[in-house]
Amino acid sequence: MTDATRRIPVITRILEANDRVADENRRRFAEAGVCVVNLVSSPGAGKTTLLEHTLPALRGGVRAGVIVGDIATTRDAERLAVHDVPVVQITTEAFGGSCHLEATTIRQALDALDLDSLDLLFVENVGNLVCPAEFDLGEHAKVALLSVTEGEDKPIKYPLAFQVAELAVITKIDLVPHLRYDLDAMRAFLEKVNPRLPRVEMSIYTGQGLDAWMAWLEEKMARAAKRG
Amino acid sequence: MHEASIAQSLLDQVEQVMAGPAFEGVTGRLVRVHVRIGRMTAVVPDVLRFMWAAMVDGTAIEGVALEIEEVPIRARCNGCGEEQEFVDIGFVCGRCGSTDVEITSGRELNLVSLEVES
Repeated sequence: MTDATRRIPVITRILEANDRVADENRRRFAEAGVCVVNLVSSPGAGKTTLLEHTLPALRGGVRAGVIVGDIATTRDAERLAVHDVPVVQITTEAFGGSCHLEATTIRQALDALDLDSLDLLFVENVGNLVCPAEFDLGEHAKVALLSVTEGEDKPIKYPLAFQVAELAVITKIDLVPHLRYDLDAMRAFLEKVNPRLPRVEMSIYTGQGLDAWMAWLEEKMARAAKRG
Repeated sequence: MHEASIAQSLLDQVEQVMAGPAFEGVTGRLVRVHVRIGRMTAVVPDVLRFMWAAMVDGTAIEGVALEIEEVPIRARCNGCGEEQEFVDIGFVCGRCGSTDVEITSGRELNLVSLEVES
């Protein structure tokens, strides 16, 4: 700053507009008693596959819905719609090919959903381990997926996703015998980035970890219901 | 490339501030926008600067510079109470070795001030 200029203090959060809409979404979720889980991962880690196997495994009359974000195509929505749950596909192309979902995109998607008829809403974020971590959507929890084919060190390369997540799901664990993969190294990297992050090691095809994942979801739903 | 959305949000905010009470009676030209970006955000300062320049191009505030202050990652140990700076991820208290640490700074993404000609 020079004598010729002066500073006018402001102090606001740059993402205030997003966070305001996220708060509004959160209020709507609470009023409707819906637990919202935001799945975040690289492309191809298995978010859609996880949902394909989670939806039929939901017990006790849990009514679920899904908001799917992709840059283009409705392929994921088509895969999920066969499970007879409401699915809203957001293609971010319309928003300039954005690499993540923002609170306003979720708010728009909610127009197509009857929240009161849902207990659980999954948000399948755009496949990207960087940008979705920065945006609050009003969800109850972010879950970070990491497939073993991505290598052991993704948690320390993309730490924020694993720091803001409340659960890490390690997918495709049945492939480990076919890979030169060091499970302990992956565990140590996760521990380093976020020592308090619970972890489920999972294979959709052997069923390993699926019970633990369903139990985590049930606990989240119970807590969300209490808060709502 | 979420820096584009962040630059857009920033531009919206700057325009709002300039139209609001904080700018009443201000006649000097806006020359610089000051922001604070924590090192624990997924924001690359150079990319944000580039996006900002592209975003303000052709607007009333074309050419206004973006000044980024980077905020280091600091955390307080819940074990021994020591507060320290972390340059690398892997939050282990340098004093007692505990991993139970609370981040106290580094997640900032704030507009701080608008610098105008006086």
